[in-house]
Amino acid sequence: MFKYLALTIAIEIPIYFLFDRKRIVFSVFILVLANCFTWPIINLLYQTTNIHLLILESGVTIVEAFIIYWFLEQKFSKALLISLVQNAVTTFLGIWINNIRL
Amino acid sequence: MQINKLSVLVVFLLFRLFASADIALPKQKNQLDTKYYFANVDSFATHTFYVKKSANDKTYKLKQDAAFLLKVNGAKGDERLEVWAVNKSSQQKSNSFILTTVKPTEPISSSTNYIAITFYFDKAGKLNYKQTVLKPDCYSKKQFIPVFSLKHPASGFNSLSLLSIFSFLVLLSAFLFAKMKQRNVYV
Repeated sequence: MFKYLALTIAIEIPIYFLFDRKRIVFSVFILVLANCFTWPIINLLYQTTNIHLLILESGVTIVEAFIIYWFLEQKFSKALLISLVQNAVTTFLGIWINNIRL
Repeated sequence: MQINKLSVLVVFLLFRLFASADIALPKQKNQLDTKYYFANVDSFATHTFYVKKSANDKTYKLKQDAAFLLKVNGAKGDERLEVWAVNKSSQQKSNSFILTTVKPTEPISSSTNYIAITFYFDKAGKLNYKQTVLKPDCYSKKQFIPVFSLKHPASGFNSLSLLSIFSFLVLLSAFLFAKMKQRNVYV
């Protein structure tokens, strides 16, 4: 199960560095923690409730945007953009791989 | 610029390598394996009850307290039971009904539902049934059931919750630490 989390992190971190490459180790640390915080929650909610996947992903996008904004000191608009791109890529990759019906 | 190109390359390589992987876990089926008990077969001395199991297409003569387990993902897909009765004197076959796997019946459930079937004949002589969800012992003993539980029927979810809580606490600690440090700088 955790390999999926590892893959999500492995995809989202390089996407972050497309936007910003300062303090690489600290950024990796924060992004790993952010994913370790949000990924279990979204999967628990997705498995146990009827909330639509895109609504859950929107919530995750906002939470991760705030984490990037606070910890990685980006402008909020940029943090939101980074988070949106990261989560859009991983979400639609997941939908495509698993044939999830939206 | 080189690092930028490298990042793009890494992203595309990861896409290619992990095409069989997952980002969001595929949603589990709502249904659970279901075990049916037939509770009052002996109450009908005039009838014999039969069950046909879809998993092996075999027909069984029902005995008192017989139990059949239906699996959600059996070899032939979701399993089902066809149940009917035969009048011993006239050899007339009744209507039949189908039993299938059902959704979880308890907030904290095991991986299997337990359901007791009680037969009855209605006024028109049609075979019917009532189903009663059998609860594990802990429910009948009025034990404390937590309002919030980290335990989920599917294994592995407990560790997911713990990981999330741990990560949240580390992030919160780092945030508070940074705030305190910032305040000390201004003082």
